[in-house]
Amino acid sequence: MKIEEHFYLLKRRIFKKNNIIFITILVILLFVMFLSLTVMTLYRTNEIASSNKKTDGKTIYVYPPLKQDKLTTEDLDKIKSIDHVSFVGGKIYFGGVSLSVDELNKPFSEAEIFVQPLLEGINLKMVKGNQEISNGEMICPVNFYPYEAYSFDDEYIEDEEETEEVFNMKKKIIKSAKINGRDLIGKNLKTKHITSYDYNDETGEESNIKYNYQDFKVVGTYDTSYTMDSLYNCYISKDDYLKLVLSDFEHKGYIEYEHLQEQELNKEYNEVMIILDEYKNMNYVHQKLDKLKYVYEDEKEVNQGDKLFFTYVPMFITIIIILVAINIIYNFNSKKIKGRVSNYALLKSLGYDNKTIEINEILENVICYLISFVISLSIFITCFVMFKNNYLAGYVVEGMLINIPALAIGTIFVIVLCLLIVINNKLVAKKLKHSVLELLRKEI
Amino acid sequence: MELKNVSKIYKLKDEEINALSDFSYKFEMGKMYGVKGHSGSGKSTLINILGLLEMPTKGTYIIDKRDVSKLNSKELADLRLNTIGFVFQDFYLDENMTALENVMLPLLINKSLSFKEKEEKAQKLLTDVGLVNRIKHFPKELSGGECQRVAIARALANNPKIILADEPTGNLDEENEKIIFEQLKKLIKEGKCVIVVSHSDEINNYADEILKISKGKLVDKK
Repeated sequence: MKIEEHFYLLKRRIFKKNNIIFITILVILLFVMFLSLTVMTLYRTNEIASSNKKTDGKTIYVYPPLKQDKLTTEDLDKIKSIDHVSFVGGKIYFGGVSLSVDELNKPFSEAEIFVQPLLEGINLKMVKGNQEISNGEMICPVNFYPYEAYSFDDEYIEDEEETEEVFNMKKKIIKSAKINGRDLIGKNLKTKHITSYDYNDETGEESNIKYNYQDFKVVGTYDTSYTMDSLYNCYISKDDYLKLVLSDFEHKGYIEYEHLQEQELNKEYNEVMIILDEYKNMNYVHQKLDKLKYVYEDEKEVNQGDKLFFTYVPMFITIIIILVAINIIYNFNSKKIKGRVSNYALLKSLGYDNKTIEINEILENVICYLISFVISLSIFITCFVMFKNNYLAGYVVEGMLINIPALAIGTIFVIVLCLLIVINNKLVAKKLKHSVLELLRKEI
Repeated sequence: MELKNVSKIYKLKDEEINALSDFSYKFEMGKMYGVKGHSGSGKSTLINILGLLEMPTKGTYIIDKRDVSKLNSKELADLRLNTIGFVFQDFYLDENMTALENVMLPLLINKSLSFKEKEEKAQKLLTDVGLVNRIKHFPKELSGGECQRVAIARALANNPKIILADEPTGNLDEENEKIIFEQLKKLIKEGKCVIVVSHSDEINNYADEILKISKGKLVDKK
């Protein structure tokens, strides 16, 4: 029997009350499954994958061995000679500096970028241009968004001693403000940062603000998702970075940075920062450092408790839902097929073979499933996009990967479809084993 | 179509019921047969065996020169599709389908016609039984007589040689009963063999032969 003929048989019964209820229940079950899978993959993508992707994940702080005061250039050379160590240097290079870019200001937000030094071991996924930059040059994100993702609603909580600002967590990315990094290549971005200002404790006023201005020529653009960088994160040369950080107001005056500056000048360090070529070589480098008796600490450690919770709880929920789905599919189909026994008898008496009847029944279930899958997925994607663009916009700007777990959803689609076909087939085949008369008389 | 020493035995817990005992008869094409008997006489069993809805416990049933006991389920289904047309007492129309769609049911698995040809044939069959204006009506919108005519049209869909009707007028009034018997009678002019099980005496006016069954055996034929 051709497919159009199967549909001819089905057209009157596909939207009967039973099937509508079945479709509705499947929509809900699938939606909850998508939700729990998203939570699981969001965690895995960001917490666990960030170890592999972000530079932090392959950054180690190394301290002098016991009974040794400082790390000297000799120590640095020893550490640098370890395989898979790409960069060794002072901790002054860790972190970044915020720069204002007035020419990119918008009515809703001032433009601010965060610059970091392009150190050895940082492997950017370049979209245009190459990763080598000189002084005065910059690489920016291809999906460039140098604005606040938060809108501020000030709420003052007064107590006896101080007032607090409470940020309203409404977030939004203004699509029209997104900048394509490719369009900036060859252009000079005029940046500035505060080097000093005077602050009046009584009035709270800032005065005598001094800026340092610097132009950077954009020579390349990179994809932030590969390194989980924020959408305003730009890279400049080591030398440019050092000058900036040493003159930046936010860093000056802090004892730690003064020490870091001193260590950089004297080339004697309390601690150094190393960056590996790849995350997978962490254990190897740990072993080498152990052999050389250096004390070390990883910049990033995965919280094992969170890892277990956000992996196994959603997985457990998904499994429970699949079991519930099996139960519902079985009961629904069982009841439906029981009510169709006379129909099967009629078809058999007209000359339909068992296989044709089975295929028709399976097709009905598959169509119901496809309808419910499409509805559920549409609702899910709509909610996901709305939630992402509004409540999670800040995280997106910060570089968090918030994507629909397409692979997991595809897997669920196949699993539930197979369950549907198998359960339905078994139930129908069991009934069709009986003769026409037994079916007509419902002696089963 | 021939039955040779056919018996049908039903086993119920501790006892055996001989619904049909050693029944032998040869049915000819171009004739209408009436089968009569009291309740429990075996007439429905007879027609169910003839229609391949049941298999005999003993004996041989030859249809189209083939012994049905040697056929597999697919071959039996093919026979039901192409050689036999069955009309039930309770019509057994699909309530969710229109008259046209019900007649289309056996045509859907007919591989020799295109879809358009099938629809045209179904429409013609309904026209032939006088239901041209009821094609798009559902069974609940049709009278008993009209439903039975749809069932007859459906039974004729694949041009079977043999038409079997089990109490086709059981649920109908006298007027409709006559209409149905008239419809069935017309078929023998096309060379078909029509076998009707009926309590009604009206069958005597239409059948070429009447077979009387009692306790599973043929007791009389006229």
